[in-house]
Amino acid sequence: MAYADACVHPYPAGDTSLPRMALEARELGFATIVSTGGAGEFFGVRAVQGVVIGARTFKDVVKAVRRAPEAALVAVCAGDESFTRSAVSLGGVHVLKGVHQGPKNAFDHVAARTAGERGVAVEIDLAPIVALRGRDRQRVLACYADILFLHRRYDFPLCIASNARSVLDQRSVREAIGLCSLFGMDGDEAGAALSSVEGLLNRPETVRVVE
Amino acid sequence: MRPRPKALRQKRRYLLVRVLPPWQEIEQKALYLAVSGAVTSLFGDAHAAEIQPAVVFSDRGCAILRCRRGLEGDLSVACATVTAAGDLRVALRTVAVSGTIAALKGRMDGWIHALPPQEALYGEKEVRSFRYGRHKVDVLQEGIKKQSIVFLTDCEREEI
Repeated sequence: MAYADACVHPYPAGDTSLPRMALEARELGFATIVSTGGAGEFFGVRAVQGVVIGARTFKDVVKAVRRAPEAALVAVCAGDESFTRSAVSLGGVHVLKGVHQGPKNAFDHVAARTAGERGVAVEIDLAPIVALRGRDRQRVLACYADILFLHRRYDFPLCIASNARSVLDQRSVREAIGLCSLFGMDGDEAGAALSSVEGLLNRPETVRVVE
Repeated sequence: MRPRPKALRQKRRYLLVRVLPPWQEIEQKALYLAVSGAVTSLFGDAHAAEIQPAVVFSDRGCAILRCRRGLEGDLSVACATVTAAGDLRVALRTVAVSGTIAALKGRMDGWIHALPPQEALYGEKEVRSFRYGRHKVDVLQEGIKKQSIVFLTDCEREEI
């Protein structure tokens, strides 16, 4: 099974170059990384271009999705309830990101059902589990447990991202599975989530309006 | 104090961890406080007391941690949440688990540790850099307020 880190932020967003992140990812057991700072193949690891859309209005999201490169993995940051529902139903969006940062009901059962029907993945970000402490981390773990509950019910894909800005933030496959076990995800589910990026990139697309 | 007979002792497991960046000198106590803090923060006092984390050995770039048998998985997860030891940014990568320290030390023999710093020319600037592994180069950048590290590979010398 080819595992993928669903989002890393190399130099200039972070302090590590993309080839170094790819080298580190290979040592950590990943075959693919999704990078917000370029694409290519380094040390046998494929770096896929990732586009993160953090727009405030749905209109801006539509514009940004149209502008995204053809082979890129497009991720949209979650907002309030209606924004998230619209975002997951938009063609061309592969990943819903930052659900833990949104309001309490940012990702509800309606959005979950739509994501399941459209094959939009929800990102499990490991960075807050690693970096936060105390109540903030408890809130993130509770949010991920809720996403996992909805995933088991509606069967939308999940993907796991380190969101690393440095080699020191990258985590191995085994560590990622261990961190996901903190909110009740079992090994098989974590394995499927780590290998879901390939499926997202090769997803049959709906008709795309260019003009 | 007389040691307990072997049959009455608690069974232990030892974890071999890589400390990144390997050239940074980290005191054993600072590492223990970081690991202990991570375990307590993640699992709470009650479970931390069950795990009984300890650092039994620490050298440049590697350390051996101890815990109770059966709880090595929890300690490994807690190690993944360590981001700093003292004032230094670090990452701990669990490499192996064993029942004896000797087995882990035997495994460490083949490791390539960081070489002493070199003066290297990046662009027009002369900077200190550390090379280790096959292609890894860590470059120290002197800022106005503090020092920062840039992680590169050896094929990117000209680009920075």
